[in-house]
Amino acid sequence: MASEKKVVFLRSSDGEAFEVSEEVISAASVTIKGMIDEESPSRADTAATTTLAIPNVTAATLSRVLHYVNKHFDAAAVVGRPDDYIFCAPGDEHPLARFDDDFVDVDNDTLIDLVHAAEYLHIKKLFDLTCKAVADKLKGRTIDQIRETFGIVNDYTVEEEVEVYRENSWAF
Amino acid sequence: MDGLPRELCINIFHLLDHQSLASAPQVCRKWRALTSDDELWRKLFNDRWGADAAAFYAPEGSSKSWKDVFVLQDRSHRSVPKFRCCQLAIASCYYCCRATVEPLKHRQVLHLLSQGYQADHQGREGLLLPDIPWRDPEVLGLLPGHGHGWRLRQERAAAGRRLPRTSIGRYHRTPNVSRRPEHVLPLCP
Repeated sequence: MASEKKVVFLRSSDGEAFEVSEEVISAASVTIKGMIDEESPSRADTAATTTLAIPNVTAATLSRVLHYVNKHFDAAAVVGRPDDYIFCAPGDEHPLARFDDDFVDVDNDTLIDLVHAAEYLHIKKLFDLTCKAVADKLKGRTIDQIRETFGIVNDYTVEEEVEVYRENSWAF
Repeated sequence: MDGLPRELCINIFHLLDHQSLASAPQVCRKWRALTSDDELWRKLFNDRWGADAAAFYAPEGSSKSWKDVFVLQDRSHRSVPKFRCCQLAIASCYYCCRATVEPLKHRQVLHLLSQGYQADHQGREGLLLPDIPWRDPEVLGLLPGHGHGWRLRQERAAAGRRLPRTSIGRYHRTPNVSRRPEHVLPLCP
């Protein structure tokens, strides 16, 4: 392993490039690790930095994702387990529990974008976190609240609505 | 969530409990299709009643889904007797042949059970006590009165939940004095 820190650039769908340490991003994202591995034979001899295109993720979302990834990597480095930081057990004792809570405390579109990005980049922990956040927005809400929150149009007829209600009334 | 692909939606639904998952299909058609996914309900069943029960109750053929199995199991699970003070006895009044819904005190339930009356169904609506000789003044005295419409409405308002409307309503419409009163109302099919 080379002692100097390798850097990669990630280019978002709207053309903005973000600099990130290769060590950090390849530990976090399976997708980008794969991209880097593909690239590596060609760049082993050249000193040029790599720019990877991330076509499915916008700049705003990508910067959030990188913020998350960096934060978690740094925290894991403090604990001394740089490799398995993504497997930290969730819970209150988790040093980044508050950060995570604040991180997903965003509006719905941003949150959905994050789910997409985490899925595309294969960042498992971020994916779990964002999915959990979406699920929490569904729990304990009324049907109308859910529709309003996620901007879903009610496409049932009145008869169907009654039928579906009856079908599922066992749970209440 | 509208723009999310199917797999992501299901991934999110996997994080819900059965009550949230039962209200999700009421949101829109797409969600209805998504939440009837077998794997979702199989996993919920597995988590709640264990792998052995899941293997035993696994739906056979295509006529039943895991959701059906879950609903059935949930229903029977709720009917584990819990003798709390707010049990309702649902029976028909001997004299007017109408359904009566009465809150029974804990000691009244215990008394009836100690007299050898078997509760043949204990649902979330309450106890159903069959073959109680309602004419017996001692037993009759245990019940606070004959519940009629107003009492039922009162119960509904107090409980804030839906009491069995259809079955009660049926009995209201067809008073049958000549017939032997039915002491048990069929609540669950």
